[in-house]
Amino acid sequence: MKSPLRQWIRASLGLVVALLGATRAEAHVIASGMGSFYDGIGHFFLSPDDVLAVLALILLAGMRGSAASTRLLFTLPVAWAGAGVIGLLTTAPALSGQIPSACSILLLGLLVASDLPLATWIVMALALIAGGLHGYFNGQAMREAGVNPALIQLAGVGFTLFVLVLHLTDWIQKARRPWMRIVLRVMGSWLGAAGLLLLGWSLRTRGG
Amino acid sequence: MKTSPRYPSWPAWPAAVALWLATGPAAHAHIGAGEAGGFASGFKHPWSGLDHIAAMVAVGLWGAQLGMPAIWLLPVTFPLIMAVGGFMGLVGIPLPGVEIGIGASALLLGLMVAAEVKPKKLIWPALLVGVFGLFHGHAHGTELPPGENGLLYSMGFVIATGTLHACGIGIGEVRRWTAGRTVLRVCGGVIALVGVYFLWEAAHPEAPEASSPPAAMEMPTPKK
Repeated sequence: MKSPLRQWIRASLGLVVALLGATRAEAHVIASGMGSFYDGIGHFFLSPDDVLAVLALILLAGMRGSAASTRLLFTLPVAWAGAGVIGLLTTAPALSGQIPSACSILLLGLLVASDLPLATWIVMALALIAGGLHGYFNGQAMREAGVNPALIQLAGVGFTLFVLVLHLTDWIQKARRPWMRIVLRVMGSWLGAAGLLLLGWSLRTRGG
Repeated sequence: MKTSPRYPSWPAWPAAVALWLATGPAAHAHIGAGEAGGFASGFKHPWSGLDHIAAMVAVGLWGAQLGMPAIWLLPVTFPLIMAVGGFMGLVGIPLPGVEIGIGASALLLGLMVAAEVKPKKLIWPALLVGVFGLFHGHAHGTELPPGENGLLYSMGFVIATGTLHACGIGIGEVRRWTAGRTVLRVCGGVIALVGVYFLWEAAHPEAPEASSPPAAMEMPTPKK
């Protein structure tokens, strides 16, 4: 069996090398040429604000146990896709989702870091709000980009969320060693800090 | 004991996240010239000054000396409060004496490590680290380049800070040996000296002629 320390060192080296190469940003709504469903999957993974909010929700639900995890499995994709449809159908001018995204990452990150014993319904309410917000802005972005058929893309996003929640919450619940919970809380604090910085950044950008 | 071969082990997940970040994920389209360069740019930022590095490593060293739960509580407190400072800097809320605060952070945290100070209540180290985190964050917040996409930059910035703490905690593991404890205290002394240097620099800013060569090289306009 491989030594855990060696695995950590190897993974950390990979992390540093890979991260130093990450320098540029690309489009939010993508067209991969593989079809709308896969475009939806790509759309999600190319949106770090969405990914980090979902990661924070998964950490939160995973740390709160199997009941919260199981409910998140259905609540999050449904809230996301439902709000996405509203975003697609609404005729209101597109709004910037950066500040709501920053607030959701900040709040969810802090909740993970603090490891508060939240009731399952609170976690579900947070999933509905955060998933709804991000889904709505996804729908708006797809409408603005003229994505067709956007519903299939939204289905791709929903499928991605379902698979991520299924696997990651299961993995978190298997992580029963005390130091693993500390790692999860540290991840939460980093997410919260990044959310707060993003909020400041967004306010400064908006203020000119 | 039941094992699950279906799921990757712990280190596989950071590597997967790294791959995701490295292959160019972008929060938003519309990134223009002169704006933030993403994760790598944010990751490099905390490594850009010895004063920041010294203070952040000192947080890890002190946490290691204090043991559980300070070993993880201090490195969690610092980035969070640093983000508050960064937020203040970004939105333009002034904080007086930032450079003095940064120099003092290296000096005091270094002294804590050198003297192996172990307060009975954890609130005091957390408070000290938090106050200094505010100064470091504010300095970074005012220096952050403008851009529409701050998320990757922020993530890089926060993870780099965490990495510096982890370096401190890693070095701090030598505390398990008697000689290692002495080495740690010497490290604390060196960090305190670095703090003295930066405090001196903050208190005696360089003359404008020396600090801004382009201004010094300007030719006077001849009078007609």
